[in-house]
Amino acid sequence: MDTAETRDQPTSVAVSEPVLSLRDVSVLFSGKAAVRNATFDVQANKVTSLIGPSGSGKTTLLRAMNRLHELTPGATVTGQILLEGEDLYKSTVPITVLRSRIGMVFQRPNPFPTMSILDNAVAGLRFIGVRDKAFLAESAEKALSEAALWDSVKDRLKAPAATLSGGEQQRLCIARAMAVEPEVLLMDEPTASLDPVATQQIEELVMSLKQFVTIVIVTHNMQQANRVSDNCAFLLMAEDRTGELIEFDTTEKIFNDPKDSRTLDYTLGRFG
Amino acid sequence: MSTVDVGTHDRREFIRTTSAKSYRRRAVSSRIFMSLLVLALTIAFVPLASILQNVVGHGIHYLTWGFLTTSQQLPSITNTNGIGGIGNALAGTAVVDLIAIVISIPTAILLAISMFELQGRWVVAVRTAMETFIGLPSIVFGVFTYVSLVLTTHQYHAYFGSLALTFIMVPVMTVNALAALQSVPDTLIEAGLSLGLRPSRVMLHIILPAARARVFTGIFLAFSRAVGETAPILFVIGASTLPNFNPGAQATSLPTLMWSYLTGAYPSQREACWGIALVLMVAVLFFNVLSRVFVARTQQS
Repeated sequence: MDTAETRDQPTSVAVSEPVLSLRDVSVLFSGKAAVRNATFDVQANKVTSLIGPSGSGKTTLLRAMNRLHELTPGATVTGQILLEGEDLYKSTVPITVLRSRIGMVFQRPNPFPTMSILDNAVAGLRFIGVRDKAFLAESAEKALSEAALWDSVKDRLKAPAATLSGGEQQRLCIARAMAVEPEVLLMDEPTASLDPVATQQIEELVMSLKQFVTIVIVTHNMQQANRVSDNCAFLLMAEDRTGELIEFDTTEKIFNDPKDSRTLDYTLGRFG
Repeated sequence: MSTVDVGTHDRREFIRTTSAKSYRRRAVSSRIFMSLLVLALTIAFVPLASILQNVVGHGIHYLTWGFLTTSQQLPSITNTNGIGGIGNALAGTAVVDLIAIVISIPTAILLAISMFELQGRWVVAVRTAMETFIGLPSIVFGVFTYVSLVLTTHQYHAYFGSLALTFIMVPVMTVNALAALQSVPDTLIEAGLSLGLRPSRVMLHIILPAARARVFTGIFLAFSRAVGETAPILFVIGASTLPNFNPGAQATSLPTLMWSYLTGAYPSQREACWGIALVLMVAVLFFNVLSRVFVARTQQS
């Protein structure tokens, strides 16, 4: 992919195939930009974190990556978001098919309340048309294992998902997303509503999951970004209340040797 | 997990192929169901449009200042078109509905508040009764009012009609207001109580303001419904061919005038029903729009 002419092109990022490329991406709500001109690459099998204070557009940008923001009336995107080179917004492939390649985990655990643990885990597969019982059972075990949940739920797979604890529910949601074998997993502050122990488990999970899937994670917690991510994007709200990408680099650089003084101020906790 | 993750790539391929295949199938059924939806919408729209077209088409030339302000008049052999206007009926409608609304709003809000605050079987019983009332044919309330008021006093009064309309409005308003109160998040109530507020302050200053948009919606909804009701007031308000704002006197309202014109002897009277229908329709539309604007304003602030 020739990107020589694209400005803000990250140079110091570890060389690996980008799965998701953002090119000059702006997200607008009713014509007003919520985040503008973001350009960076999401490397395969790495964890990329989006950090920044409230209002900097982290979540908006994340939701634009699988076009979930379109549920908000009046939302539009300019620029390009490329999934393995294919423009998400110009593709002839239907959005439902594209979304199955880009999973999402939300702030609050949201297992489907009327379904059992097992049904939740294979909901994605079942409803995109997989009928093969053996394949479904295998997928459930695989996804629940990947989400470090299999051992604790394998004897109560038929139990309602609501009987799980908050942390377990969030891991079930991760399993549910992983079962459709996405290439990218988007996580929107996945530990925001969890206690420290459950948070630590999810963080460990994120680090182990990257062998299977490319992860983009939004977090308010800088230590978390520092611990789990390989690359890091720092966003900030500009004067006109629009989010801007200030800096994109390896997490190491962002936290130890950032180019922009604002990044340093933020990671040191001087504001935000 | 080591036994199954060997073929991750193959699994992914299989899932993608299945998804693409089922997508093609779903795209077809999607189109079929979409056409059914459009068809259903058309079927629903045709009678609606034809009613609109008829009422507006036949009624529009009645919308004159004279028709709205002069009183009704009995046609004569020499002047079969001399039916006058609907001024007396507009006045009657205003009096009957205004009194009904003045009684209904506080009653309904107080009822909703008590039902919200009180627990138990009593509340369930009242609620069930309310919901049943909403479903009852309105003539039942007309008969009830006739038997209990007109037959006992041997008189017709405009305010009897107001009372009959209250039976229509209060249940609709109460059920809506109760749902509105119940939709206020518990955390708001708890925040108020934790400040040491009395429950009555919490209700007045926290719950009611938070619920007001939906409470108003219920009020307007009930009112729109009551404006066009004929059956409950038909037997109890009598008739008056002159504009009359005294609730103790007899009155003619738009729906009752329409009723008497429909059964009248002259074609010109029957024709004028279109005009009355249009006025009623415009009135109901006006209050619906008003309520939407009002609710939008309330929610904004």
